[in-house]
Amino acid sequence: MPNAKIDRDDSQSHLEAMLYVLQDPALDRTAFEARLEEDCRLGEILAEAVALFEMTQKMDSWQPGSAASPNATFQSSDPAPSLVPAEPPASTRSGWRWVASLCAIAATLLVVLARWDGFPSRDADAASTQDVVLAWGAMQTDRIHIAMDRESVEWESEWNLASLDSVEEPDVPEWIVLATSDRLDRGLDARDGKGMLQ
Amino acid sequence: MAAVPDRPLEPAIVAQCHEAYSKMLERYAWAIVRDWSLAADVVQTSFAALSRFGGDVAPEARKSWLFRVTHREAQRVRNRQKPYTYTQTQAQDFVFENCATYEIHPLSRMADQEDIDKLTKRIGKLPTEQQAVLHFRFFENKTFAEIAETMQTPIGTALSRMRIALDRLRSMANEDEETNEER
Repeated sequence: MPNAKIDRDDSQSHLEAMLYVLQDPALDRTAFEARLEEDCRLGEILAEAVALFEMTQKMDSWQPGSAASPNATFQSSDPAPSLVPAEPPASTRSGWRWVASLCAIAATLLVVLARWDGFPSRDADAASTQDVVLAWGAMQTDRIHIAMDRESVEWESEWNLASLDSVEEPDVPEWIVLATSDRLDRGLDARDGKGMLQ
Repeated sequence: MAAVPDRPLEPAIVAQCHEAYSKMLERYAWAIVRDWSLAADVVQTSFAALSRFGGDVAPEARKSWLFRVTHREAQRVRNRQKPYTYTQTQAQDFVFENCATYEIHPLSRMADQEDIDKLTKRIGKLPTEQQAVLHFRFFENKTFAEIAETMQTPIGTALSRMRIALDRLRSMANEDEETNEER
C-alpha cells in the first residue's frame, strides 16, 4: 500500500474499522457490517485494523508524552502533562501491592509469634511434645480453667489424658495443650497474675 | 432445492489465492467472530468453497468473492455461537467477547518483534494528545465517551485524534515501506 497520501474517506473508513475491532459503542456495527459485505476494500481496511490491534496487544503499555522506546524521537511541541494518567504505571502499582501484602503477612506473623511466644513449633521434635504430654499427665485429674482474656467467659474443661498415649493422635486440641503447658512452666497466668491451677 | 453443480478451480490457483489472502481473510473473520480458531475455520471453509465453486469467478473478482464468502460464513458461525447476543437492544449489539479477553493468535506469537518495535517508535513520534487517545483506548480499554470525559474534550475531538493518529501511523508505515523498497 505505497500511497502516502490518504484521502478523507479512506481515513474515516480506517477509523470506523478500528472502532469495529475495538467494539466501541460509538460505531453502528450493524450498518458497518452491511457496508462490509458490499465493499471488499473496507474488508481489507478492517483486516489492517485487526493487524494493528493485534500488534498493540503485544506491545508493552506506554505512557503518553514519553518516548515509546529509548531510540524513539518524541516530536510533540505541545506536551500536555494533564493528559497523562495521574496514577503510577501498572508495574509501580503492582510493586506497592506486593509491599503491602508482605507487610500484612509480616505483621500477622509478628502477632502470632508474640501471642504464642515460647510454644513449640509444628516442627518441634517429638521429645518436646512428649514433655508437654507428660506435664499434662501429672495433672490428669485436675480441672483446668483457662482465662481466654479479661472479658471473655472462662472456659472450663476436664480432659482425660489417658488417651494421649500417642502424640500423633491427640484428643486434646493442640493449642490448649500448648497454652496450658506454657502457663504451667510459669506457674502464673501471664496476664492477670492469678494461679492457673485449682 | 437442486444441488449447485461444482465449478472447480485449479488447485494451483487456489493455492496462490491462499498464499495471497488467507492471512488478511483470517483477520477479517476474527473481527466478526472474535476467536482465532473459528476465524481459521471460516477461512478454511471459504477456500474450500473457492476450490469447488470458484471455477467461473473472474480472476480480478476472486478477492472480493472470497471476502463476501468469508463475511457470510463468519456471520453464520457467529450467529450459531452466540445467537442470544443479537436479541438484545441495539446498544448492546456487539460481539459477546470483550476486548479484554482478546486471544493472541498462536501464529502471532512468532510475529517479528521488529514490527512491534517499529510500531512502538511510530507511536512515540505522535503528538502527546494522540498518544493519550491510543493509550486510553488500547491499554485502558476506555470507550471514546470515557476518553472524551477524561481528556475534557468533545467526543468528536477524541475520535478525530484517533483518526489522525491512525492516518499518521499508516503514513509512517508507508514511508518505511518505500524506504525499504529503495534500498
